[in-house]
Amino acid sequence: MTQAKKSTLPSGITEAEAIDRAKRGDAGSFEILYGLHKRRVYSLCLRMTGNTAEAEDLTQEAFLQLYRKIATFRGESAFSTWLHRMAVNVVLMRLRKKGLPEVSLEETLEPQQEDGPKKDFGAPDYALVGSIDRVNLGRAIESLPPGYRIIFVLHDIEGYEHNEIAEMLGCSIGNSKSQLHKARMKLRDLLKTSRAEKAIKR
Amino acid sequence: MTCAEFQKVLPYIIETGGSADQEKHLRECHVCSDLVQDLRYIAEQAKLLVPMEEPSPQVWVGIRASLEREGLVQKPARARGGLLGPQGALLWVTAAAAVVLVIVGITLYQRGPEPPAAAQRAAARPSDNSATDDDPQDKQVLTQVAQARPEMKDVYERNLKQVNASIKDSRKALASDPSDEDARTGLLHAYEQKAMVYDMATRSLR
Amino acid sequence: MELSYRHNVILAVLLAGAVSLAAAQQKTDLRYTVQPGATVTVTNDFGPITVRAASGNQVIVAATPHSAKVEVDGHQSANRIELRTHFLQNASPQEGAVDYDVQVPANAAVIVRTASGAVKVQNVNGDVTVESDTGSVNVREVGNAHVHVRSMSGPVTLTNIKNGHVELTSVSGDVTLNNVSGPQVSANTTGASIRFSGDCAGEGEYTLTTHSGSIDVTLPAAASVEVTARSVNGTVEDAFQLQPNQHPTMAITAGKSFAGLANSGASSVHLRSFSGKITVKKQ
Repeated sequence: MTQAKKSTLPSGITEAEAIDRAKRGDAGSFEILYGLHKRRVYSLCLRMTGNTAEAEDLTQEAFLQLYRKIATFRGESAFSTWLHRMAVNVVLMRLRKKGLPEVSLEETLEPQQEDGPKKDFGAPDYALVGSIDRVNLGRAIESLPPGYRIIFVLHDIEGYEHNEIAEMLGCSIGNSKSQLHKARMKLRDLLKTSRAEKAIKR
Repeated sequence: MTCAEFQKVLPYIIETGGSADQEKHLRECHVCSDLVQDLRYIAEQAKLLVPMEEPSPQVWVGIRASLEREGLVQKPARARGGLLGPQGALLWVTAAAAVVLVIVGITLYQRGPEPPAAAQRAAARPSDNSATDDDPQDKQVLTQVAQARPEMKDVYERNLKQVNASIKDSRKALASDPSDEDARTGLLHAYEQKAMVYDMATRSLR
Repeated sequence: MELSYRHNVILAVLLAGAVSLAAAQQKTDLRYTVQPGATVTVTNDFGPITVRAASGNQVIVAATPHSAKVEVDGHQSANRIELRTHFLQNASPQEGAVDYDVQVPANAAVIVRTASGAVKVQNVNGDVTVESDTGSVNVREVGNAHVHVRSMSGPVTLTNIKNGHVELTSVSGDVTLNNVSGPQVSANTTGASIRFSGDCAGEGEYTLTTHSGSIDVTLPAAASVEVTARSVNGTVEDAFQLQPNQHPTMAITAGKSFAGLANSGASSVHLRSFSGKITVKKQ
C-alpha cells in the first residue's frame, strides 16, 4: 500500500506517480520529488549542523541516496518518513566521520546550577508561556551547543522517540532524555535572557 | 521531596509523569511547576517550527549532475543526439563496438587464405578505422573517460595507442601472408584486447 | 554557526552519560554468513584489496575509508555478497580510497574490480576473477579453480596456482607466472613482458602470447613439455636445449622459430610474439 500523497501536484501527477516514474529513471520526476521535500530536508540538515554550506552538501547527499535507493521503496511507510529518516542518517554519518560535536566547557563546569533548584536572578521571574516567538526560538536553537541541538532537533522538532534517537546515536534512552532536558534548560535560559534584554532596551 | 530531588528525576518523568510524591511536589512547588511549564512550552513551540529555509538552486544542479554521471536518470529523447550523447547511448555504442571488434577478429580468424590482392584491399580498407589514432569511437571513449575519471584518461589513451598499433601490425602481417595462422591469431588477440579496453572504460562509467 | 568538535575521550571525561559519536574515518566491519560456494564481489576503485581464505562459513570484512567522502556499501543476496565503495561526494583518488581486508570461506568464488588499488587474493579454492586498470594484481595459492585476470597496465603476478584454468589478458602490465599449472593456462599481452617459471605440469595447454613484449620461460630439467616458439619480427632462443621436433607443425626459421621436446612432451607450450624476444631456459 503506497502512502505517498494522492493529491495531484501542479505538474499534473501525484506523488505516487512521481515515485513510480523516478524508479524508472525519469529525470522530471526526480525534480518533482526534490521540489516537494527539499525544504524539510534542508531545514533538518541546517538545524542539525548550524552551517548553511554543510547543510546544502548534506541535502544533496540525502537526495542522491534517496534516488540511488528509490527502487527499494515499497510503500510500507510514508515516502516523506522514509526520506526523512535517510536524511537524518546522512547527517549523523557525516557528524560521526567528522568527530564529536562540542559541548562547551561552561556547561560541564556548572554542576551546582545544573543540580540545584532553578531560580532566575535579576529579571522578573515570568514564565515563558505565551512569550516565545518562533524567530527567537529558531535563533536560540541555532546557538545551542551541537550535542544538545542534535537531540533537541531530533526529538522536539522532528518527532523521533527516545528509543529511536538512542538507536541512531548509539546511546542509551536515559542519555537521550538527559541530553534533551539539558537542551531545553539551555533554551529556557537563552530565551529568558533574550526577553530580559529586550525589556531593558525598551 | 526537595526541588533538587525533583529536578534530578525531571528529565525522565517530564513526558510520562512521575510518582505520587513527584506529582505532589509539582503541584505544591511553583518554582518546579514554572520550570516544567516552560520546558513543555518550549517543546510544543518547537513542534510548530515550519521548515522555512530553502537550499540554493545550486543544490539541485549538483544533484542533477550526479544523477546523470551515475546513469540514474535518462534525458528526454529530444535532448539526446550525436555521438557524445548520454551515458546510455555511449554504453550501447561502445558495447556494440566491442562486439564488432571481436566479430571482425573472429571473422578474419576463421576466414581461409584469401587471394593476396583481396587481402591487401581488406587490410587497407579505410572504412575500418579501428586501428588508427583517428578512430572516432576511441575519441568518444576517451572523452567520456576524461569527464568521468580524468585521472585515468592518460592511461586509457596510452593503452589504446598500444592496442591500435598491434592491430595495425597484425593486419599488415596478415595482408602480406594471409595463410599465416599466427598473424591471424595475433590480430584476433589484438581486437580482443581493444574490446577489453572499451569494456573496462565503460565499466568505469556505470 | 561554525562547528568545532572534541574527541570522544574528552567528552566522556567531562560529561557523564553524554551522547558520543565515533571518530572520523570509522572502520567498517561487516560479517555475513554464507553457504558453501558463495560468491564475494568487491568493487573498489582506489585503495588496496586483500581477499584471503579463513576457516568457517563467514565473510568477514574490515574496510577503512581514507576520508569522509567515501563509504562502504555491503549487501547480501542469498549466497552472494557484494561490497562496493560508494562516493558520498566528489573525491580525489586519495580521498576516495578504501582499504579492504576480506576473509572468505576457502571455497568462495571471488570477483574483484578496481581502478588502481593493489589486489591480493590468496588461499582460495573458488574461481577468482580480477579486473584492474592500473592496480597490481597478486593471486597466490589457488587450487582447482578458474583464474581470470584482466589488466590494462597493472602488473600481474600469479603464484602457486595448481590444477588451474587460467586466462590472463593484459595490455601493458607485466605478467609473472610462478608455478602456475593446470589443464589450460593462457596469458596474452600487447606490450607487456611475460615471465613464466614452473614445470608446466598437468598435461595441459600453455599459451603465452604478446605483441611487442618479451617472453621468458624457465623450466626445470624434468619438465615434460612440447614447445613451439615463434616471433615474427623479433628473435627466439632455446637455451633449454630442447630436443628438436622431427615433425614440426610450423615452419622453422633459425632465430625466428623453433619446436622441441623435453622428456615425454606431456604438456603443450605455445610461445608467440610479433616483435618481442622469446627465451626458453633451464632452471
